[in-house]
Amino acid sequence: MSTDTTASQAPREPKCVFCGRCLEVCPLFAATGKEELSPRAKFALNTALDDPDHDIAAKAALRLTGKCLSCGKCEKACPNKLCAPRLVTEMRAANPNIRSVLWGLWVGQAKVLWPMMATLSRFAPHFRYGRLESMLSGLKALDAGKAAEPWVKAVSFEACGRGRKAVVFPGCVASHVRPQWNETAGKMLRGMGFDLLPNPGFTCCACTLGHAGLKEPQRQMQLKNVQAWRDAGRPEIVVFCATCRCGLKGYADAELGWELGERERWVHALTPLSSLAGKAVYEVRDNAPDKVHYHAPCHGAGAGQDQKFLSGLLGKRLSTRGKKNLCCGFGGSLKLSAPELSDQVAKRCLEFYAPEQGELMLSGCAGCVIQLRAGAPAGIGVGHWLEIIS
Amino acid sequence: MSTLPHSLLRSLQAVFPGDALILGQEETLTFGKDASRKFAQPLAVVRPENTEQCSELLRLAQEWRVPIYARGRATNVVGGCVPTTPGIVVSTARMAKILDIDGDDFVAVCQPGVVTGELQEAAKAKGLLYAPDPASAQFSSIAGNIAMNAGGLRAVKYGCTRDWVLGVEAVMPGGTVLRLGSRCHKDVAGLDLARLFVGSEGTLGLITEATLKLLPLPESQATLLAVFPNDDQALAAMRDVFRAGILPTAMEFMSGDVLWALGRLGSVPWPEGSKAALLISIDGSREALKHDLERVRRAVEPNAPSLLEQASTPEEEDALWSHRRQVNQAVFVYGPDKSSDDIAVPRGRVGETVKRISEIARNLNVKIITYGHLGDGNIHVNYVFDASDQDESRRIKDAKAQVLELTLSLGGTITGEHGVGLSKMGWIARKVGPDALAAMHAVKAALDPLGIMNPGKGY
Ligand SMILES: Cc1cc2nc3c(=O)[nH]c(=O)nc-3n(C[C@H](O)[C@H](O)[C@H](O)COP(=O)(O)OP(=O)(O)OC[C@H]3O[C@@H](n4cnc5c(N)ncnc54)[C@H](O)[C@@H]3O)c2cc1C
Ligand code: SF4
Ligand code: SF4
Repeated sequence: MSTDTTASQAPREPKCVFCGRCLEVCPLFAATGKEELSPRAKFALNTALDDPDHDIAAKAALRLTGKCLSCGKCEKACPNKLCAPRLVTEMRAANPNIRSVLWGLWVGQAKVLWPMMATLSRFAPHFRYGRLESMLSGLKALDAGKAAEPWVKAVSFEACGRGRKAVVFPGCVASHVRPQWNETAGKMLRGMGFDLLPNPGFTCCACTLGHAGLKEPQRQMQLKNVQAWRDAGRPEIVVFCATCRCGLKGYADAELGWELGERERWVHALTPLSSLAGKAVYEVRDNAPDKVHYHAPCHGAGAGQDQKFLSGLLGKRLSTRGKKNLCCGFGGSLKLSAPELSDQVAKRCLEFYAPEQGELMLSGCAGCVIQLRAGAPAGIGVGHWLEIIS
Repeated sequence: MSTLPHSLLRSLQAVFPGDALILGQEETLTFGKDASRKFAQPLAVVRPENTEQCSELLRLAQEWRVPIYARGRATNVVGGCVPTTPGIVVSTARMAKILDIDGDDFVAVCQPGVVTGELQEAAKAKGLLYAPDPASAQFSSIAGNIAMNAGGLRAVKYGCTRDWVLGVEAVMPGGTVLRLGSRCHKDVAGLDLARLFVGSEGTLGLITEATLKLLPLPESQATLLAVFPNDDQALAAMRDVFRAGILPTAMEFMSGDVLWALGRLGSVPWPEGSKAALLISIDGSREALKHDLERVRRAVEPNAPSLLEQASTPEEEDALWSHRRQVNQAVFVYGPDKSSDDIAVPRGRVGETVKRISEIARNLNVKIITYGHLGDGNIHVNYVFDASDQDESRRIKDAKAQVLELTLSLGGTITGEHGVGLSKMGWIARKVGPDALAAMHAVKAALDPLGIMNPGKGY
């Protein structure tokens, strides 16, 4: 027994007051009913680690708290703005473990591993790759043969890009598995009159490395991306993956040797493709599905540009039904550390949308697309919204 | 730390396969704590999905005399689900389905772990209202609300959870399943055991299903914010609203201290130096609402409010109520630590109570802040202090005792909605008296003879 009855803590030194608000928004708790995975359980474990009255095993506590999708929903719901992913990152950074190393390898070596895993998945379906197996199913789902057929044609563009220099930030998936996304984005920008520069050597946005607690590799990648942008003359950076956009925006909070005013310029340069895509005229073809479900990603959906663009384009055909604790289950390093939990979250997500045969699910995040496409039943298309545009 | 006997463990594993039973200290840690932030380590946690599993659990628990602690969302603030005597925690997280919402019977049937806000939403989608509205509705469970008899903002008009429970399915120590009450809105056959479970704080049996009463959803609602240069005017305005024959859904009071603190947190519509505010909500049909709003204004205006603001759209209402929602955070401008009580007094004595609490604060030189559901006599008393200052902490302790003494002397109660749990155990005998307490113990002994249900809590 400890602590006084109804005492609670001042916000000056924010601590978890165990109010329970975060349980309501945590997709992991919603999908599993496991309170030990909830945000407040993570804070309770962390507090217990520092308390001599508890003989909690650090390794077991880390393993448990590490099970997190890094969706950030708990932070938004918490009256004290406590952020479970940040706690996990800090705990991981202090205790590097094998999962983080694996994950770091995967993203850090994306060039090698992504295509390799896609290939393995395609050619050796019985290949056992331990915990990477469920990841492989995701990549297999992204295989070219399964791409959504385009059914929207851009017929004319507003020349809003005239006199503007831009680069596309492709992210891991488009760089290595779905180059078509990159090509479509490029065509649209050229159509709008942008002076489109070649990829200046961008690497992964690295936010996943951060979630895994791999601060130094994350910083190295961030520095590389910022340098590439500088070398290209600080053009606008057009991003079509919501999570990448969110990760890139976060650079402004990191110490990356910014020059005076450069942070602001970086943030200003980041442009969601969907905010430009609305400036074109489109024709919807006859092979359009009757209903399209929009899945809002946990990250980067902030101002809702993707949804706004799609609503304008698809009108009543688009269903934007959502729920506060919905997540595709791809985020964080859960896919590596506990693929079965990640699958449970995905299952719940798909059950919520309950798409019927012939219907389509669209998202603006590469991770969501991988995850939902892997879990969707046969006959249900899942894609990035770029895939429907020709 | 003690552990469960091996053969009980084997039996539990058979009833709760896979991750439905957890034993590891790290995994079960969070289940030892609730919003009181008291803690005790559970021996095990089970996650039943149906009544049969609960029945088997309580058969085993009775046989082995192992304490059982029901746990919803653990948002109670009185230590109600802390496993103080080592035992098994029962999480209702996997019994969280709404089984029925019936617009003909005006009835909802729920599993215990359903979050109240979800039920409210689901009922609303069918044009129905589940009326109880604790501030924790979005993140507390139905069975938790029943077991604590949760009140809320709308209690002035709609009462507390008790008034909406028609039936309860409960599993008793030994495993018997009782089906109490019915879907009938009127049912007086036998003792009202269903409502005995309301406010029982998990001390009698496990609630595994609840049948709840619904209402047609009111067509519209509106809120008035009235701010006054002194307390007396606010209290007079409250009295005049009731005298005008209007029963608001909510009638919330914020003292001058609260208004000042909110002003430090962000922009507020009232002038600096305001001494009291009332938030008055009413609901009804569109035509009736217009008429009633006018009557509320006419009742309030003679009391000379310095500000009278009206909200008629959901967005405007949200903006007005957002001030009230921030009170919890705002009061920390007065000190780094906070302790609170949720006393209730007969409605007519609210004014006197608030005044005399201010006197206690002055005499002991401590900060006591009052606000809350004045319309139903339920006052939140917050003591804000610095726990590292021993002298101040001692004075706060004295102040708490004096406030509770005062409350009882005015015919009030030590808790209006948060319950007794562990926190108020020291006061329950004073509140109910020795004979009533003995009667409560007799009821407990009849239904839970070995005392395995949430031992040491409530009464
Ligand atoms: C921010 C905040 C605001 C709050 N606002 C209000 C308010 O406005 N009004 C109010 O009344 N309360 C309020 N509370 C207190 C709390 O939310 C209520 O007491 C609520 O009813 C508890 O529900 P729960 O699901 O969290 O139950 P828990 O805390 O899990 O359990 C409460 C009690 O119920 C028992 N119990 C739970 N499930 C069962 C079951 N299936 N069978 C038998 N017993 C069971 C437990 O053993 C325990 O004794 C608030 C709390 C917080 C943190
Ligand atoms: S980040 Fe998401 S998954 Fe992780 S604890 Fe918070 S709400 Fe749950
Ligand atoms: S919302 Fe924040 S304070 Fe409340 S339980 Fe969750 S982490 Fe703790």
